[in-house]
Amino acid sequence: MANKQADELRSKLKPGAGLEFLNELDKDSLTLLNKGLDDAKKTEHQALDKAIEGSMTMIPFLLRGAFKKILFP
Amino acid sequence: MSQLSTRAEIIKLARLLKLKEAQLASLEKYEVAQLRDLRERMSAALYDSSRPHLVRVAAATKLIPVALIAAIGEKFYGPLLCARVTGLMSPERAAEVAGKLPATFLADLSIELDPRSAKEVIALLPASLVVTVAKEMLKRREYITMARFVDVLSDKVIRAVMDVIKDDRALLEIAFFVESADRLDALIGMIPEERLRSVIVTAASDENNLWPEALSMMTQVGDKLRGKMGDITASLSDEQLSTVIAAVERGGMWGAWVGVLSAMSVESQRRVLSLADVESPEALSALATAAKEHGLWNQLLPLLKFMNDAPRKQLEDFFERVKSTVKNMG
Repeated sequence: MANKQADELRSKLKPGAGLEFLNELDKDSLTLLNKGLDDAKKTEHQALDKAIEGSMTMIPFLLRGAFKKILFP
Repeated sequence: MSQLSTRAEIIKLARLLKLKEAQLASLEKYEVAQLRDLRERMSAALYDSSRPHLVRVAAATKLIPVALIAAIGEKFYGPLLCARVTGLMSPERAAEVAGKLPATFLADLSIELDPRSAKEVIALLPASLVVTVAKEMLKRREYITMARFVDVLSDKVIRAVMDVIKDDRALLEIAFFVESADRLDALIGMIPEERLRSVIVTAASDENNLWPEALSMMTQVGDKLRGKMGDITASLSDEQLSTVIAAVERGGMWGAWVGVLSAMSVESQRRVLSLADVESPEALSALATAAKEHGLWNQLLPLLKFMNDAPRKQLEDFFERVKSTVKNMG
């Protein structure tokens, strides 16, 4: 089970040598790392969406169309 | 190596994943290089997942004035997203934006930034701005973050920052966390001799318990600097030197210590090896074992002549015994 979680974590990262030590980690640690990475990605995407939305209120009206075209092609 | 360097990697990984340091305690037993590799790959995975959006944000910033980018960045994007966008903007424009942001925000941003991804931007920042942000980071004891910037800052800017680091302990910790051996060599090479002496005295004083960090630093620099720091160490008072030897013994760092010893001047070697603390049977045994384990016999052997008769005899007997064991095995 822990090995499966280690493989799952490796699959989310750049391939390459190393990270064999992940096989030695217990299930809880691997769950934490997998979830930590997934949550961090999710939080970052949400923060980015919120920032883009919020920043529109400060963009001069005349530029908003061009701005949206770049941000939402 | 030191627990502190492992802890530094765990802190950086915890920050990246927005976890608490204690949650990653199970990683403490692993090598620093393994933890660094894991952190760097996780950081790349995170960055890659947002990259397409961040590229568009960076492109959109071309439409608005620098002051507005700074205001929007501070109000809506926050330090993490601004750090991510920094390396995707033109370096000139990103540097201009940095000039419009408050030092506290830039310090927050620096914690999130991978300095290698923004090398060109950092190179364009005026030394005065870097010093202002460094002062803010010193206030927060952000030594790990400061060390990451040593890899990318110019020597001139590093000198300006060092001028404002008045605390020897802070300077030692920053130097300890520097990842590149070449840059560490350059950094220590820039420290005036008197200041280097002061840092070593601080590390050697028992209450700070920083000798493992100082010794780890000495092992990572070139022979010349190692010898210079070794000579300074050898010139400490008997009491300070005894504290150093006790710390070496406590931390099982005899291998590193032999490396420093061998780089010292002959006078320094004589002084250190004639010290009673080095010559206790336990210390001698640990020293000999470390020399054997680390393949440092050839470095230690010529130094035996500086020891008093009894301890020298003990070490020579030890070497003879090992030599005959090896011979019998062969």
